[in-house]
Amino acid sequence: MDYRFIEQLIERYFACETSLQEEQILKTFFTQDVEQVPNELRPYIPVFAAMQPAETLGDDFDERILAQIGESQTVKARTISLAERFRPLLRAAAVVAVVLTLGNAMNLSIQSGQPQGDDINYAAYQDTFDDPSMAYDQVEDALQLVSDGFAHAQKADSIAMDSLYSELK
Amino acid sequence: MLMALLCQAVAFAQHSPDFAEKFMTLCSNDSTVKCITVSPKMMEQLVRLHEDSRSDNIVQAIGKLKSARIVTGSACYYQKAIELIARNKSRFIAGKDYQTEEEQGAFFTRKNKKGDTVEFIMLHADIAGNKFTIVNLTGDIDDEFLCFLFNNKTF
Repeated sequence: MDYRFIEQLIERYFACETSLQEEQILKTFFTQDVEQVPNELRPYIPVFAAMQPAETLGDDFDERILAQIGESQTVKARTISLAERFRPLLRAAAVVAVVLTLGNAMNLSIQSGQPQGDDINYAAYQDTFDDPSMAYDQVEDALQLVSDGFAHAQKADSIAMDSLYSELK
Repeated sequence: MLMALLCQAVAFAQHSPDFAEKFMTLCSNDSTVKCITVSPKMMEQLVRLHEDSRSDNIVQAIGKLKSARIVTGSACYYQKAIELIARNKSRFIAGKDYQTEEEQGAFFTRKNKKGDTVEFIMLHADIAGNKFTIVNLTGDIDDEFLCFLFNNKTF
């Protein structure tokens, strides 16, 4: 038997020049009984016997797709109320309110810790004298000066001094 | 938490200096102006410092004080101090003042939010001696303390 035609088809196949019909001829040839295939062409059996037929969509393809499209999914309409719409905003506002409240509470607790509600930062005071006796003398002189000042003011206007006293009270 | 920290920072920033400290910032370039500071810690030590020569009145008066600052300089600073007080008139309440040919002086107080007097300022200028003094006291400046100053002409 002359297998020249088959050999030509094989050459053209590996040169990517065969048509689908010619490839089908090769597959048919190599899937027949192995004994019918000459020895020199048998190494090609695994190559062409394994050729899969081109997948086709099938006649019922369109029907199946149309059937799937035709199945309408039911979507339930969900009503969102105004409260639900603003819920994230309300949550954010609540967090801010809590933080502000805590901050104010801390502020008040700090202020209430100060004696007499005085707002002077005594921590910044640095003593001029290390010796209490020297500091005492200075304070004593200062109080004496203030006392003398009251006396001067009283002397200048004793009536006005009474009003100062009441004002200072 | 950030807001709480911010509130705390604002509360701390609200601590304001006393009058003497404000005045010293104006005179920072003049080395002749001196400020003596007696802190609350030192003031507590002064109360405990008992010596026979010291009267009980002054010890009781000091016991009501938290701090004292005494600023001295030349008499020309009297007017500057008055102007500084005037710029802070919402903070300080003017009391009686006096003036003679030789000296002049004025008293001011500051009250806290509760209405208690917590700061006392006396401005005094010795015109003849060209000397100016600020006595800035803080603490419990109540009637009892003022009585000590009014009634004890000599401590």
